[in-house]
Amino acid sequence: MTGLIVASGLGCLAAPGNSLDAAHQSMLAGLRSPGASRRLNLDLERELPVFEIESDLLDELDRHAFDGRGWFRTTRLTVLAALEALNQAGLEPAALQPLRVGVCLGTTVGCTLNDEPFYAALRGGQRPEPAPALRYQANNPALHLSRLFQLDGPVATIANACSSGTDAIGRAAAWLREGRCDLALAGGSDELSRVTCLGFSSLMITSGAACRPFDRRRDGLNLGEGAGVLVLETEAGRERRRAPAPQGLVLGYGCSADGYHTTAPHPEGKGLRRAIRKALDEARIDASAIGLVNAHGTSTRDNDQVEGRVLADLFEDAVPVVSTKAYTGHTLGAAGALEAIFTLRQLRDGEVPATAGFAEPDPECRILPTVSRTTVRAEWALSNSLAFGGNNSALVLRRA
Amino acid sequence: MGVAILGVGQVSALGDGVEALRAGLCGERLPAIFQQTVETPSGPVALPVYRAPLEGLSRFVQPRAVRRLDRLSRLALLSAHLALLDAGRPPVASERLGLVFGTGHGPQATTFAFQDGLLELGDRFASPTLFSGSVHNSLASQVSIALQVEGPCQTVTCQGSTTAEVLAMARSWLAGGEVDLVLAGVGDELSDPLCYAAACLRDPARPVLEPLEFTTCSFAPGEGCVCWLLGTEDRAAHRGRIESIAVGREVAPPKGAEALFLAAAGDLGSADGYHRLMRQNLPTSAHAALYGSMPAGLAFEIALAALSAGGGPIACAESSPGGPSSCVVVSP
Repeated sequence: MTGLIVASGLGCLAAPGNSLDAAHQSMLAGLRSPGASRRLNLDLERELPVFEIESDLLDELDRHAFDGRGWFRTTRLTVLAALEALNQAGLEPAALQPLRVGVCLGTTVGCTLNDEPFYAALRGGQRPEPAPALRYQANNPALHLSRLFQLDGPVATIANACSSGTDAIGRAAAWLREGRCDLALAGGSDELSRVTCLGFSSLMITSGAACRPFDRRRDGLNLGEGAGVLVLETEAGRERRRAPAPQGLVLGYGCSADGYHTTAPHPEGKGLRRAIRKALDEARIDASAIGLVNAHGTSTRDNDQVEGRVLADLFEDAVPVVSTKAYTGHTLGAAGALEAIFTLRQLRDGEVPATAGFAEPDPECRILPTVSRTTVRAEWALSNSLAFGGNNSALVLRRA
Repeated sequence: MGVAILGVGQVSALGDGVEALRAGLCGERLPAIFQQTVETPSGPVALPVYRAPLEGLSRFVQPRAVRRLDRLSRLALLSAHLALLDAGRPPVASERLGLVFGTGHGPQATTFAFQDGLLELGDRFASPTLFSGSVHNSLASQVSIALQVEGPCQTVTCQGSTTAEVLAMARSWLAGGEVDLVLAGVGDELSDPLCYAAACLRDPARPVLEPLEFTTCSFAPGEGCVCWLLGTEDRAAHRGRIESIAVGREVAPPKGAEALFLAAAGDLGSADGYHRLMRQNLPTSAHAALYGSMPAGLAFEIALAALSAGGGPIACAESSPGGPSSCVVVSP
């Protein structure tokens, strides 16, 4: 497997659990409980259920001897997911310093100056301290992680809206193939914020109830928060450092623009078809090899219809399709990373959760997602992401 | 692998187009600097602000067609059109054209315009148009829609590493044969909160931006966008070549570089990194006084290097506080 890109460690936090094991078991058990945010004060006409992580994460960071009080919540999520992934890969942060380690992370909230109190004070004629304008730059997720672990290698925060996490993994894999780094921390993270909650609500694509991906009665998405980080390296590099067995492989990536609309996918899914084709080509496999699909599956009318049609055209034989957003909500910049991580675990363990909320097929979607905990005997899987701005990205993953 | 620069487009306080940049470099044109008085906790501060003109966009698109575009997307779209024009609009299939943009702050003015609506009207009246325009990838997506780009499309935001990663991504796509051409750009826009922060931090005794003066803050916010049309190294390079791209804590100008252009922008936090980059005592200059302080600064230095007379390779470098440095070598 020399030259192949392996995931030697996986780490995640999301509403179903604050570790990959916890989240995976919770999803297999079909557990989910979206509800009104306990942290955010939102004045909306109707309910906005979200998938929120309860903890402020400070105790968890303290257990690793990090003081996260000055960090954005997105930053805290990122660091905790990275620590879990490193641990599984048999690495301590200090062990990274002799290596060239790249950091490539996706986000939306984590790169934006959304400090409402600061802006309100400024707009109201007060003269607030400028610290928030500086703090948001210091919390740029990839830069923060690179600085925190004192890493030396390429650094990039990918801000491609909802496909950012998928794109970050694809980009980090390219760095490794090009020899730009020995090892990469790749993934994505995003916290729930008032601005994104109010923004998505204004677009009228949020549901007032728990989301129902691909269901005929689906009426919108639920937002969520979380982080997912993968330790990626070449198989040759993993063998050199005598690391634990890999969790899976990242063998294909493709992205493609619709060039069509800022918030709606191309009706025929042109860009998504190209992105999947590129990912399959890079992995040097045919679509018939894919045995599991983690769909973007947001539960919005447009997304699920377009994605369902593309998948139905691509996979003539029934392939298990799951949307884990039914358990995490749409975690934006973290979504692609979380879903890639879940998919690798599902390939490894051979079990996929039901797509919670799905009950009634939609002829317009033309696919049936998983309706119960399902056994899969698959070697290859596909994970899709579609984003604002018409970006489409896909990863082809393989069982180790 | 090197990358051929087939065309350059830019919009900045010097105006739009390559010739405006060249005129600024030769001292034949001065940037449009507006003096803004900002009330800070320590009293009023006179802040020089570099504002980029957008009138040139009407040469390429009907004003009605872009009336809903955020300012940063307009800057990106103008520079992209100018890059294509500068390159002579080479033919390329839509799915063989890639697009990658970088930005330090994103469409920040739109982000705050969205918050204006929340403050004035309340949560229930949030603007969907402003929200969708406030995401960082709006500039790349608006350009992809306007120019019907169907290849890979990405947005990078990573302070001092942004420009280097934008160019490295373009190089990867070209080297891998994924695309034939890439529109690669880096841009930033002004916003009131950023100007306020700059006014709070700058030394009032420094009336102008002094990029190589590392003992005091002379930060003067700027806005603008640089866009390149890039091709594989075997193409005729109308505007020079990107010879190498490096990012890391100990990055230094490589052997053979004849000059060093620094994206120093008058702030204090990056001094150590810039001193490391200057150890080789190459002839060093920094041109932020032409375009203003902004995360896109390295892109302007690279554009200026490609226009510089002399013919030798120029190392263009940037250091960000506490982060890695970037060095991009350009052969004019």
